[in-house]
Amino acid sequence: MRYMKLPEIARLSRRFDVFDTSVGYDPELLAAGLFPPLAVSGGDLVWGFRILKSGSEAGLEEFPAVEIDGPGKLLSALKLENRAGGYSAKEQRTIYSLALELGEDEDPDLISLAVSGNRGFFARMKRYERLPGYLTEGIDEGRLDIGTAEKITGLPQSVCKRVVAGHGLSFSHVRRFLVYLDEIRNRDDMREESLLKLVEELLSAGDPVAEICKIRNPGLANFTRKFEGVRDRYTRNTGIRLEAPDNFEGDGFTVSFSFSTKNELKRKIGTLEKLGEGCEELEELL
Amino acid sequence: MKNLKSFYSSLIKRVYVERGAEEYKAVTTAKDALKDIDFRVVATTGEIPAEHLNGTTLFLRRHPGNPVTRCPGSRGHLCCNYHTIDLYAGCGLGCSYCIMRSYLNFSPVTVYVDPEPAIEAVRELAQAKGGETLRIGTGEVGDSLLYDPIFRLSEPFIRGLADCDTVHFEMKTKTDFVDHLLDIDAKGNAVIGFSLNPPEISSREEGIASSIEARLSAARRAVHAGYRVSFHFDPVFKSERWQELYFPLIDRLSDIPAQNIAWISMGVFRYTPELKQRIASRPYLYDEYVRSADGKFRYLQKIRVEIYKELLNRLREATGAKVYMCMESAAVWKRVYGALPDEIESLSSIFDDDPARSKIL
Repeated sequence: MRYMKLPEIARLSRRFDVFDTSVGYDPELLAAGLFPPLAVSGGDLVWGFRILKSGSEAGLEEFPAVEIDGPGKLLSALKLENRAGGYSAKEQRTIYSLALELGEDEDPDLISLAVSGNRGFFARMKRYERLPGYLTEGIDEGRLDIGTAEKITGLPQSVCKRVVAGHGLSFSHVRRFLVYLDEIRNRDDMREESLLKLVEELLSAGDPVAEICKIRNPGLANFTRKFEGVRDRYTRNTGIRLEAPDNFEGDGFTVSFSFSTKNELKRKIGTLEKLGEGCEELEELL
Repeated sequence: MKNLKSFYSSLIKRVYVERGAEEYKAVTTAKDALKDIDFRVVATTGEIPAEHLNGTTLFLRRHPGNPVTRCPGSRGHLCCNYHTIDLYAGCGLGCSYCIMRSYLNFSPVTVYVDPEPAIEAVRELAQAKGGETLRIGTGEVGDSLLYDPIFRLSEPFIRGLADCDTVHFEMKTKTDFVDHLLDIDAKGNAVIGFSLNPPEISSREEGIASSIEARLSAARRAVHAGYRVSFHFDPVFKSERWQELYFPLIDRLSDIPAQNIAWISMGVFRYTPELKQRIASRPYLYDEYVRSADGKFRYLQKIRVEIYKELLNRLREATGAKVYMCMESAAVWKRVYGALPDEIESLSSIFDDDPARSKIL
């Protein structure tokens, strides 16, 4: 190990500067000298950009450094970073570009394992590269995943951007909303203008995902509405619970209630008799 | 069976043979039929290069375990007591809706070239079941007849089971490749089954499968040769005019004598989430589906019941044959037939088996 002064470090290439350095290294640890050495190789600073950035901001003028040899520099940097599965979309993109640039100097399987914890990193990034820019932006921002982006390439750019920017929609909501929207577009042959209008209406609703579900599944929504109509008409505020089978798949409905006195039981039996009048409407749903 | 050579040259690009299986009759027969293809011997599939692990590669091997199993059925749905024989595992037809797309994408088509243990296992099973009907077929994980003109593996089953009165051996196909079977004298209860969909759907969704016209013609040739046939309306696709598509097809079965039709099955289109990923963007996926008890997605129960009722009436009118539903729930059976299958006299030979198994899985 040797010590390198800032001007000497500044002459090194920064092509390995692929990790997010926005979160700084703990200043107290820096002040105590408790930080790992930089990794350097030939003219490259291979790892330690976060320490270098935080340290120089804290006034350090020289840093411990270890020279590493041979191929596998990126793999060394990833091992030192030790965050398999924890890299942001932007970091993955820069790691991928650098790995391609380094070519045969790096083992793709080992790089893949070090980045994502599995062997699928390069295949995934190839899929990412095939996507249009407005969708990769969504991925970089952490609002979309590659699989969803691939499914919705038929949606107009303006529509995607509007949904991705939709306030109040979680990552999983964005995903479900866009997939449903694309299926509705295909089913109903909708164009950009009408899609945008629909999106605006849905995003202004209290629960946009529930609303788009109803449009995607009109039969189920209609059955649910009919069931709730019967249920509310006959059992609201009666203490009787009427349930339909999941997705209206099954042989019957379920009624349950409890009682503590004979009079209460009589009242509930009376309610059940009235519910019998709505039975035909319920039977129509199964 | 026209242009079979060019058909197979596009379907089969290479053949690997498990070491020790080279001398089986099916292998030597296939070598004669596929003269332009190099047969390479390997110890295991592990020796097959990754770029050859696909449906245009055949892997010929002996069956490593029990070649005869029960159809796994589907949780929450009624089982029709079918048994399956692994013979051709995988299929090159390329039907868009095929469940095998969700799990066999990176596998060669496996051909089990040693039929004798399977035939013996079926005979033992039939004996163990006493006088009960044993419905068994080779079309569960592959098309029974697609590769059969090359390997001739159905013939030993037909001959080997011909004297078993209770065994109904079914070869299920989307091809018209029946001619190599027609001259077999001892047919026993062998059944040649044809999967049917209206030509408009078949030509769009069933890859390189034979045309419906060709399949119906093959069915008539099979009947003429003395076979019983079966028909499988599975998967049935709903559309605004589904009756206009399916009813004329059903009506075309009316000239086949009822006694020559072993059974007819119906099953609406269903898919697993994994299959949906593979199917990508076929128009039928934009219809409405709900998750059933077995995790598969189907049309709403109410809609399925309506479809089945109409199909059943038309099929009964046109054919007079036994008609059953594949992988449906007790609720749907009650609404379509008014009873569960083991309560329906005409279906007893299909469903009567182990009573416990005839119940919901």
